Amino acid sequence: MEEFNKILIKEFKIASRSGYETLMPIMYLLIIILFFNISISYISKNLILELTPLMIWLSCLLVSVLNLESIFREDYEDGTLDYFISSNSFHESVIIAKVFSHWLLTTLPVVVISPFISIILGIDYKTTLILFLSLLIGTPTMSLLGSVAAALTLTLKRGKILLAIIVLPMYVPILIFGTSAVNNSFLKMNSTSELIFLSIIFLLFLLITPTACLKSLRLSLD
Amino acid sequence: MNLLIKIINLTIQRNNKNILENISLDIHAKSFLNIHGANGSGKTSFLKVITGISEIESGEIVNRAKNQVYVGHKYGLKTNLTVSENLMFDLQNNNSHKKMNLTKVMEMYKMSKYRDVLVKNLSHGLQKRVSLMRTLLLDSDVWILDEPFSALDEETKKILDKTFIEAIKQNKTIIVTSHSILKHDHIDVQNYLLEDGRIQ
Repeated sequence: MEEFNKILIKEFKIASRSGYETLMPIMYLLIIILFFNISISYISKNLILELTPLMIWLSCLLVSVLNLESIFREDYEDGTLDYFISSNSFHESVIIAKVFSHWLLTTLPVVVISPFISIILGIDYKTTLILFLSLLIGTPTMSLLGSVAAALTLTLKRGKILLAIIVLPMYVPILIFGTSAVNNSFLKMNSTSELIFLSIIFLLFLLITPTACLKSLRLSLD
Repeated sequence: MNLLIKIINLTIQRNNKNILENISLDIHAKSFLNIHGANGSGKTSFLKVITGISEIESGEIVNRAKNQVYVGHKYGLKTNLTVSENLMFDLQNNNSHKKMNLTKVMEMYKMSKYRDVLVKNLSHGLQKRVSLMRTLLLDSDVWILDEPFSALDEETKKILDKTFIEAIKQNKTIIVTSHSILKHDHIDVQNYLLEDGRIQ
């Protein structure tokens, strides 16, 4: 746990000196949502209202995919990964700390801002709450899953596109349960089972991905 | 002398080509090894295998070192952190009880005035100095350094030289790579030529 905290502090310190970079995901989310709204503006208002929470969910997913590459990229380029592995201090806890700090810095701001966008766009409070909860559980799962693919494509020159191709199909269950929870809430139905399923998927990947990620990193660095 | 690292018939391949071929070597504690050879002879690959960064195709490496520090071509420094923040993070993450005092090491490497400077604002040579300071700071048993003398000014070379003498006195094992044979007045350097993936 101590190691975990140290890495978190270090990552936050680095991010705090990176300036506007931490605001980029939010800007990107706002632009995607704006584009979505422009493209569907000709359909009926009720349908727009029904689509909006799903659109926010999908936008968050896309922002999450775009950020995945940076989980280990800097550590690879500056030699930190080599240093960690050679000093035998690269464990599963380090992977979880790296992925968690990456999620906190790049995806959590997007998750936090989503309810505000949802309310501004006229979605009811209950659906907004479910949207927030489903994103809060779904996005770290996507980061965990994506970290394995990020590790595998680390040394590839055009890894970003390959990473998206690998990861997006694996996000389908998370997308289905996430959007289904939001849609159920919008239709005044119960969303608990979807949120439980999302939580189970999260816990499952929390157990599996650190080891898989560690192996993938070793494979990439070899 | 105690046998610290035993390499038996080591072979590694990249793209169906043998980078290292059938290498056997005994590395004893308190020794100074210089693996020298031309560019592309496999020196970095050799070090990466010893450190455990790269996997081996065949052969065996028995590494009895309790802890080791590796300084490669990439320095493993965070450019948005200051010199002291980078080194403090290493210190906090190191379990050794014999860690050296940061201020002492800073003074030794004449880096005290750069203590609070962001690494990105340092020259290439000074960044290398910071990465080499780790070896002293962490008090590791084995120092594995990839071309430590390249990109260094005369002053830093002298400091590094002194550091090596002290380290050998303190029973450290040092493995370095370079492009040529190394001779030292105070250290018995074991030079090995790495050519076409084989140690000659």
